[in-house]
Amino acid sequence: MKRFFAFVAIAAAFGFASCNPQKGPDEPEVKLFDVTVQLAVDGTPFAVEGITVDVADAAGTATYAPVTDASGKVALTLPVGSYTATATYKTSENGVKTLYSGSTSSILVIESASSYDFTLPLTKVESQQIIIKEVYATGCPAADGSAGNSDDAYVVIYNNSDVEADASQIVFGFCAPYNANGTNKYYTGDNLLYENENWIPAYNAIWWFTSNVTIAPYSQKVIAVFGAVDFTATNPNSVDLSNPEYYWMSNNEISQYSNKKYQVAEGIPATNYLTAVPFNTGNAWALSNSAPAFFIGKMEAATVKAMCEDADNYDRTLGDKPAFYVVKFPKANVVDAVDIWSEANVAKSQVRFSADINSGYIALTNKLGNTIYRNVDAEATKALPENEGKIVEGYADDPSGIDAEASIKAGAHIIYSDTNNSATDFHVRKVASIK
Amino acid sequence: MRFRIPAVLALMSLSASVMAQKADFKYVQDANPYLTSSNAAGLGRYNEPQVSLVELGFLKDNGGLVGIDGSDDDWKAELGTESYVRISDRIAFWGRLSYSYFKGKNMGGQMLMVPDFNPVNFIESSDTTLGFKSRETYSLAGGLAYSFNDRWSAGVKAEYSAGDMVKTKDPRYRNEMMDMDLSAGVMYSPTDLVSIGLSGIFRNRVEQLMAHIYGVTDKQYYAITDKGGFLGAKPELIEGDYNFVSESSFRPMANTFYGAALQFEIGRDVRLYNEFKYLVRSGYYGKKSSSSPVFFEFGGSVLEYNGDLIFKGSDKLRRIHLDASMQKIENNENSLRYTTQQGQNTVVEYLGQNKILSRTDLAANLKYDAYLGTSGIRPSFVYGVNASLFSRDQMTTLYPSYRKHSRTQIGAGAYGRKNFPVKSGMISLRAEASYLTGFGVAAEDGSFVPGASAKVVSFDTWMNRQFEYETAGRVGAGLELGYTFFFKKGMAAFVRVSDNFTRLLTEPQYLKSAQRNSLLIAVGLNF
Repeated sequence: MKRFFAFVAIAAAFGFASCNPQKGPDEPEVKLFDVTVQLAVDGTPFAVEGITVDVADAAGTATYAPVTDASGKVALTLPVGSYTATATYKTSENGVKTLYSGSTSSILVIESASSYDFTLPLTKVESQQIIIKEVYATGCPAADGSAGNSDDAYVVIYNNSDVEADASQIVFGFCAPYNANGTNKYYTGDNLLYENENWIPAYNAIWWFTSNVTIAPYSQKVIAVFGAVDFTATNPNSVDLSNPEYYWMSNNEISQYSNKKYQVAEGIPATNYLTAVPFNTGNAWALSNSAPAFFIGKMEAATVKAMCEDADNYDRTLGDKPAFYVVKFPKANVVDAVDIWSEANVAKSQVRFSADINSGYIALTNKLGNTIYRNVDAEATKALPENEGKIVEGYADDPSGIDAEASIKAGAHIIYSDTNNSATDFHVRKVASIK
Repeated sequence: MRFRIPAVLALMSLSASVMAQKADFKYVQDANPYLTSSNAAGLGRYNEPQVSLVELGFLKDNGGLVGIDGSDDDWKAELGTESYVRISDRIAFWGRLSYSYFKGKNMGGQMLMVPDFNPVNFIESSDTTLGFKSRETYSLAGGLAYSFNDRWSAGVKAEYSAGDMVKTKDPRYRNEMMDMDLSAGVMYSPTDLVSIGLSGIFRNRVEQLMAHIYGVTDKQYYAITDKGGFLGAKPELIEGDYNFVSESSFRPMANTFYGAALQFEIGRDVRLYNEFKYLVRSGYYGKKSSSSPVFFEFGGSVLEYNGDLIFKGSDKLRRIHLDASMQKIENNENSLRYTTQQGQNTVVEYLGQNKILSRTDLAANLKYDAYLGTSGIRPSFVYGVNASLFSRDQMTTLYPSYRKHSRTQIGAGAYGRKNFPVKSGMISLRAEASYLTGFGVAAEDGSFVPGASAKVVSFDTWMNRQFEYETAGRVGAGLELGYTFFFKKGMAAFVRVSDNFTRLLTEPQYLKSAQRNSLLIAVGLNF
């Protein structure tokens, strides 16, 4: 009996010694650091109070929205991690509406760091008349369940103003490398080699219109990238690019682009064809079907042609073979850009445009029929008197809540957001807008 | 189903001894707690020449009363053999060998083989991709004790298990597991009545996981990473090599345990046996190299107690058994990024760690077994009662969000087995009943920073189903019928059939059904 009680006593002592209640919710167990982010323009602190700085962690678990103090600085407490800070500030300077925008992914809260003070550089953004409205390049599911493709890619440019736009000198290209998650030899550490240069590396070929093109106010032009046919005839999930008003990047006059897979509908006139001079290898333009860095520029056709044919204008950082040549496209001629990433490869992706051209990125999953579509500038759109009663809201994918396509069908004039930040200017639209 | 695996047959001699209880394997283990301790030096305290068991069993389970890593329709076959052998006055040996094959329908959810063992798990994001899973396990174990004299002895023990699991419907994944458990110990017995033992323990368990999509459609499959309490970030596409679950290479979930155990036994006819064990745990998930990341690193401790109070009479044996444990684990997620210097390969740069999980598990089991009529070939009547308790408290922090989870499970059971001697054999009839209930809070969510926008995701479909499985009250009953034939040379062949049925006390809200039935057929030899 004594041994039995000794046995129970040992067991009870063990039980009491083992109790260890959890800490309460007001005691976070993660190590936190005091972080500051200073807004700056051209290296000078941007001392404006009340600007919201969106800070998001790379792990995708939290966003913060602190507001700047009088010195243009925000302070917050963060655990270890990699963060992106974005800010947009609309003001009026000398009676002219002015926009400052910036984004940085260099908010690295490292455990062993000696300083947790960061700078978010802002750039004065000039509103462009012609902008990239949509990039549909990553394909859709096939009708019979077999693997789909992205032959039905198209891009849309848009006149974001109330006056007619001359798009005759608009050119189309993409920035190297093909995909955001590929090894990017233009990076050294965290910096792009051409960050402070006056060019960006255009890859493969640059396309231009072969006839005069004008875009009416608040209107668009659709350009088929590969084939300009009715793809819905064989795949209901795809799009119809056979509209006679659409344009087509034609391989017909490009001897190197011998890929005859890409056809054009008879109704599209030859005046709607674009052409290019390839400066790489390959039998067709190789716009990425998962993560392209697409841009439009403004340049006379003859100038583009000469630039692409001049080997002295090639940059060979990616390699010394024709397959790796890039053309140094002048930053001054870049009109608009969007950096598209693959959702599955975000962790290993890097931006391809320098901060003065575009900051941030927009990610999507390919082969789902999704498209990159520009967000609506709600304030500017609602301010147009002609839009009274025509704006359709309740569209959750656009931060503005405005369903642009439905509003356009109702007769509204849409002004899209243009802050030179792919993360805040675009969203992933589930369905191509021309469907 | 509890199978014993026989030792290496070449080392066993078929003794002609007619000692009855040595042929009842479970009775021998219950009467000699040193045989199942972590100290192999205790093997020498079993003085019979040999006791061995070979068993082949088939188990069929049906019913939706199962966790999210289980199947509502599965079967398992297992072949095993186990033996305790005294080779000489100084050397005693133990061996075990087994193989099992499991196949289940309608399985999906958890990707790791033993999800509850790990601080982080990977789960299919959808419950519409269920399919067949099959699992094989091979196990080989052995122990050796050497007595230097009447007082001092030493022993070593090694257990090695290897296994694999596959899912044969997209998203598919493969698991390969290796588990190595080593211990070495010494024992000092100053008198016949007292013994003190000390053993060192090392265990290494590695489970490798790789996913693959075989289908040629463009259907996308996603995996969710459960960082504790079914809380995590948004689902990740199963594609490529950059997410938690890789499609192109195996990623290891590695666990290492090292520690020591202290044994103390006193008495003869009334014996008190105690074992205290303490282990330090460490582990990680990910491939350790400059170009591939280690995503999680964790550590913890295990404190265990096993105790037996045994009353041995001329014709009976009574045993009170208590085992209790406390396991703590903390998991840290590495914050990392990929960087590429010009002209060099991409490498992983670590920014630091954030603690995301702290968990404490308490468990206790109290049993009473009575063996009556032990002077015959088999105990004429065996009965017992048991009670169990399990408690978990955990806190998951994905700053600024947090989730607290707690649950307690309480169980009780009773059984009785009557052996009826017949000509050259014995018929056994066993009945048992059980009860289990639980309570707790599946998820208590909050934020350390009021106003911060949280992007964490709660995987409620899986969470609710698993929590209901763990805590819903249920009763169970079982019947077993067996026949044993005694050969003249002390060998006995047996066959038994048993069926266990468990049912929830109320209709389930999330589980597929309220019941589960297990049918077991086993044949074997005791010698």
